[in-house]
Amino acid sequence: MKIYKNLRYVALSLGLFMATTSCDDMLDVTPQDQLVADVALTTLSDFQLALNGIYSGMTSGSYYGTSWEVDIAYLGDNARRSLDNRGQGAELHNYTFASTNNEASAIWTTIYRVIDRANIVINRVDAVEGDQAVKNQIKGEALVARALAYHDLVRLYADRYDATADASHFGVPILLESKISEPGRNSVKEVYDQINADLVDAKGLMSNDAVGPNRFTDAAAAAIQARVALYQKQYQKAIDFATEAINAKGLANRTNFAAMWKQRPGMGESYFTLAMNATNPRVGELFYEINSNTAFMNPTQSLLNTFGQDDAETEGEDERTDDVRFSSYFTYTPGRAAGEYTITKYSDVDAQIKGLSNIHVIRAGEMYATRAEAFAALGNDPQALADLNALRSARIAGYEDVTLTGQELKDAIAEERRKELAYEGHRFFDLKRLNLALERGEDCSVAPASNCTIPAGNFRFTFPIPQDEIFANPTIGAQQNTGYLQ
Amino acid sequence: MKKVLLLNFLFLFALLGQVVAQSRTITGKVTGAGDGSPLPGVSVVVKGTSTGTATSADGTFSVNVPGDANTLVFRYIGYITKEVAVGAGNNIDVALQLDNKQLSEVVITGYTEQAVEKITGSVSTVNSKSIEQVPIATFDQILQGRAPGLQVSAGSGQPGSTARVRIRGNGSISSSNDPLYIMDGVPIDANVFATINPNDIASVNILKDAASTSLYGSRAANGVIVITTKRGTAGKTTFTYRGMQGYSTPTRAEFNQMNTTEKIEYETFLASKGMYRGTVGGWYSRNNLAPTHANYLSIDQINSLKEGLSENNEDWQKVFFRNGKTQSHEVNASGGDAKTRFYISGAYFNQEGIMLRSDLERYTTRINIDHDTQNRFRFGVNASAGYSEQASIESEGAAALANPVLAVYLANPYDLLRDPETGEINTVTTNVGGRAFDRIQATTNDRKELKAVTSAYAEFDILKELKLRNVTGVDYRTREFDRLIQPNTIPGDASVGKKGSLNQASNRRTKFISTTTLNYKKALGERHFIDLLAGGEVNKETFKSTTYTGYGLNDKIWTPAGITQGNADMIPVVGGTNSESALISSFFNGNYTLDGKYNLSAGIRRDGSSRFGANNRYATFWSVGASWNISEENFMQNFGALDNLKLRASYGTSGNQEGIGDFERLGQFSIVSYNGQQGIAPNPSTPDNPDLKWEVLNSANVGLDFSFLNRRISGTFDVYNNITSDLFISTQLSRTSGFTTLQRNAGKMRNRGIEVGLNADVIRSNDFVWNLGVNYGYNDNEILDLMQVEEFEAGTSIIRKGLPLGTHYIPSYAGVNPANGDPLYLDANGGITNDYGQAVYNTHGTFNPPHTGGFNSNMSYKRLELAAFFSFVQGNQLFNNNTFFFTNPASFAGYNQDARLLNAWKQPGDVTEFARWDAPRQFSSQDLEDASYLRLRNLTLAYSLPSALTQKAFISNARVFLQGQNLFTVTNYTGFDPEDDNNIQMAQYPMPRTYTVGVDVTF
Repeated sequence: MKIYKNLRYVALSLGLFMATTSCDDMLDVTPQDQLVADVALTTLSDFQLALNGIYSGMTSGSYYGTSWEVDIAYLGDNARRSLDNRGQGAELHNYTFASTNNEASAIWTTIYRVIDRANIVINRVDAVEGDQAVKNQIKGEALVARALAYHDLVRLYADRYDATADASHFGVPILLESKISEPGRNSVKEVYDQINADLVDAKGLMSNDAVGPNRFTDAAAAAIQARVALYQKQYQKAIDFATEAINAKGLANRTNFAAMWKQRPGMGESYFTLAMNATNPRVGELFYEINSNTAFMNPTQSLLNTFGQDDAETEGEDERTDDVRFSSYFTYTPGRAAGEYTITKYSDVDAQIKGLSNIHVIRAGEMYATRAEAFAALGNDPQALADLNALRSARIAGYEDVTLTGQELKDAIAEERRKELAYEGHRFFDLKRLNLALERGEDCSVAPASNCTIPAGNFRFTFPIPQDEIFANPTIGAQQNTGYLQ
Repeated sequence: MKKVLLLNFLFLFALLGQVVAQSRTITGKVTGAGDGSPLPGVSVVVKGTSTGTATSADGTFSVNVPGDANTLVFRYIGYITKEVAVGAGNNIDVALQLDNKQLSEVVITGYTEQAVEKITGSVSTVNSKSIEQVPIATFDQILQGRAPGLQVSAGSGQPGSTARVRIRGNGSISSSNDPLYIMDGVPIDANVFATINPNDIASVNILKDAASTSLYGSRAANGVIVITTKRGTAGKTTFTYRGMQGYSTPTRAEFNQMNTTEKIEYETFLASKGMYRGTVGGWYSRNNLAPTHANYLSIDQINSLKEGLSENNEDWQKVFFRNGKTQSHEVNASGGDAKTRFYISGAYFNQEGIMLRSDLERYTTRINIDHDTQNRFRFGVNASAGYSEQASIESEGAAALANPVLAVYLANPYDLLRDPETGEINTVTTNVGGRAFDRIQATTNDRKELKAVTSAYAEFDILKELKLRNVTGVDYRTREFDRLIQPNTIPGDASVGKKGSLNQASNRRTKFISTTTLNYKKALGERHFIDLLAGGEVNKETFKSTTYTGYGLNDKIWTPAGITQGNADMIPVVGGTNSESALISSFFNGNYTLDGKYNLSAGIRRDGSSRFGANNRYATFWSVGASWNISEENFMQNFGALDNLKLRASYGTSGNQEGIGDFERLGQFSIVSYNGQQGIAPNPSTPDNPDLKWEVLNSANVGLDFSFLNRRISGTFDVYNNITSDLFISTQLSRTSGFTTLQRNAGKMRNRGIEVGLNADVIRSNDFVWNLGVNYGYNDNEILDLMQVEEFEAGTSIIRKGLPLGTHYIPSYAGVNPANGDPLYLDANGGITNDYGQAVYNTHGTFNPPHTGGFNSNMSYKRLELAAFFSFVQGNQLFNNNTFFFTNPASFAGYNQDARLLNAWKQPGDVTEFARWDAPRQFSSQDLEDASYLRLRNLTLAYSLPSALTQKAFISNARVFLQGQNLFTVTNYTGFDPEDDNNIQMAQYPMPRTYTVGVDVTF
């Protein structure tokens, strides 16, 4: 009797036990050191943090943290490899890179990571409770980040905008949501349309100008719109947007300009500056490492020549230093064995952390150069000349206005743009955008020497789709850029 | 979790109250008539019924008999069945006579105990006799060579270090290949054995095929090692003292470094070639200065300095190596009565390693108690707790001058440890030995470990045939690490803040388990026997660690109190992690035996794991097996010489989930920062992975067990084919996802092999017995599939489809060009090149030995016993990275070098082993060596004192022994030790040779 009674308990208990084991409760163990995606983004302040995550992504060493300044410099004619260089940037500088190139892979990966972070914020911020204005500001900043990231991608990994009449050639895959997929490439036009749409949307959402310039504002969005319009050769738009940006913030004077490149910088004339601190990469070390007196690259003579000759011996002082850019960008050490000129734009000798520098992503100097170029392209020489003279007077002590027209004016504007934006990730794109050749001339440090001149339209003006991406994404495998192994 | 536990306990206690005596319980002990040793697994049945039980590991039994029962039948394979009348008493002790036709034992597979003749799977057993009193701190190292198919290789001879244990090769590419360890029903941490007393172990069962492992489900693909600890025996209380004392020396010091004369000569030679290295080289370079320069040295001055230097000859081996000491003391007490039995032990183990500052000191205790209410209810506890303190050398295995194993050979013999005048340690930067020695004094590297493995069980007989059992236990350990770098020392000055540092780290891991099983065992008539097991189980594991490093220590206070606070240049670093996982399982196992000849088994287990992705939360594993006791067939009865012949076959699956991170299934956000503010962003290394699941092993096994000539010769033979699939492979993702890689279950690998165990009493007479045993395993490993790719490189190895795991992948060395002394390599076209950049990478065999095993010879003459045990591996290659440093003048001639370099290429026409002095030394097959070895692992000479003598001292048993561990090694390998736990051997702590003398006394 008793035994049967017992058996009933056992059956009941065991049955319950089995039932419990098929219950997921106990298996839903969640991490304590990290946030599970589901709970990471539930409040508005979570999205404020996620927005910081986007900016943080942009500070990566494979993006604005170092690559954008250093790698693009290796690709242009403002820098040459130095005697200290042990192979840094060699493939880029020599124009021998293939789809397996490390920099091509790292930049691609990092920019898409920023886009992914932006997509998460853009798509989900509206769903949380909170002040709509705050949500709009967050979403707007994320939209500007996405636009900037797509523009950086498309100008690097796709041919120039006007390579085909309707820009129907391959751009980059447009991802507007965070997902694991194997997307193919959209056309360049589609990418630019997306960029412009995002910037328009962003300006409609953002309302807080005070967060700049370490965060995106309307002025930054306008400046990026001007840059994008210039790349699209939509000159009137470029003029309009540049004017909008300039009206928000004009050129810095020489003192403030010089301070932009110091350890505790003023933001000078910047519309958007990535704030870099001890936890971030130190871009200066890759141009000039103060402690070891090592420079992987030196300025080219052709760039130095645009500032004039060293006339200290004949004139008693080096008049090149009248140009604040010369003293801000270079250090001249007569007799230095590995090159007398070093690029110290990002290497403040007095800095607490040597080589650490804020990254000014877009600033008024570019807007003046952009507007001048656009005016000249539209045949409005007087306006173009006015912008050129304004830019020069802001930089050069004792500058006297010049009068130029036609091609001379255009050349002067191009040279001024080269000087103004040296080592900020522009020169290579300017050559590509205008379909010009890269001519390194007298102080070429390229091997093979035949690559000292890269003819206009050479396929390497467009980066390869990285091999890592092709390997994992069969769709894009058939869409490699011309010239690279399919 | 709590709910489950509560249920388990509730119903057990509810049942307790329901128990009503309906019958009486008879207990007793079954021993072998010959030697009086307890017989486990003897079937004890009330005659004419199916009521019965089996004796436990110590031979005791407890059986409920109906009031009207009058005879008990004791049946045990290998012994003659005995019937004993039940008298008035409740205790029956029985001695069974050997049936020379058969002999058997029980195999404990963790969830079940089964008689060997019913087993369908492949299980090897190592008993306590092979484990006790070995002067090695960790039991895993002791198992080396003891079981076929079990490969144990230690990477370090440092006291307390654990070994790499593999059962039937490596089944996984990127996750763990460690077996699952179960101690008294509790899963214990792999590779945390330094605080477990090997003497407490009664037996180790190694479960190898699916039929034996599939009940462990998603954790069993690498095999299961089931450890059972010693239990008390009813009867007189016995006290045993085991003591051991000994010392250790390095086994091999194969490196032949230059002595002072040679090194001076060599530096002089290099200087003549314009390469100024070392002290002498430095002098010659000063000869190049203008004679007016203050530092200029003339040749005469140099020669006189050289003469002075040649008087120094430091023996750096003597500085860093020492004679190690081992001592071990243990007292245990065992006894009890029919109702309660106990085993209690306390042990102390202290080992000083053969290098300075390498020690292990350990205290362990154990209490195992079994209680039988004699009223259908039994319960007990197995509890062990231990504490150990371990000090380790600096940077073991690292290519660092702080590593004394490297420094000892790179230190120049003309540099002296101490200044002869002042006696101070010489720490100039060029004095590698002095710096390393100083570092030992200036730093600590200590680990303190507290470990407890405890479990409690309760067992209730619902019916005579139906047992309900619960085992609940925990494996708990904490580790504390102390790393002090004293201020005002050379390493202290190199710390952040230049005033030393203190790192204290601790971590805690708990593995909790509760298992409830229902076991139904019944003989159905004369011919059929069934044994059914159903169970449910909960496992939970938590891990927590914290660490901090503080800087700027006070000159005299080297505790946390001495750390500088609030200084921006000395900000303390703090960190820590938390993690947990859970596993919920249910399982069923059935065995059916027909006529005592035919056995069928089937098992199934379902595991739900918190580590698996949402789409694959539950895994199911199964196995089927069959065995046939051929020798029981009538047609075999004419083969009188044959005692036992059994054929086994099994097939089934098990899994591996160790490679999955606790939260790898989940997309996670981690903390980032921008402009001094916190931010969050998806962790780029953890994409959401809902499909993530276990790796799967499909295992087939066929085996044969045999014994003949009155069991003088016995053996087992197994053939297996293991295919592991769904192996974790890191696959590439489109970067547009924001991620780069995702772990997918994609790879496939095969291990197939043969295992042989043979045992023979070569001589079996009254006074003299000579037993020989051998076990051997051959394993053939091949990677079958890698999904996206055909191969990928991993350091100096390659993972390539069609090749075994662990294949070396480096350029082929082609000797030295006699014309110019260039090192030569094979190029892609099969030609020879001196340009390393043109050299082609080739595959060069694997570091995993295909052949492993051991053999032993035990001779006993009256009370004297001589036991020798050898282990061996064959057919593997090891990258000897030490010689890369010791024969590398181009980079390291400033340090001491191999004396063979004196005969390196010097001029055209020299045919030499080593290239010219300034040739760049590269990684190539030059440093690959055959690491096959045969090692005399243990030699023991023991003498048991005559009982006539001992009884006067109330001693029932006394044994004294002399023991040598690692006495010699036969190998062509030129490094420290051919035994290693990975593919590259680099300045690892060498294995010691240990001599001990010991005594076992039982009162």
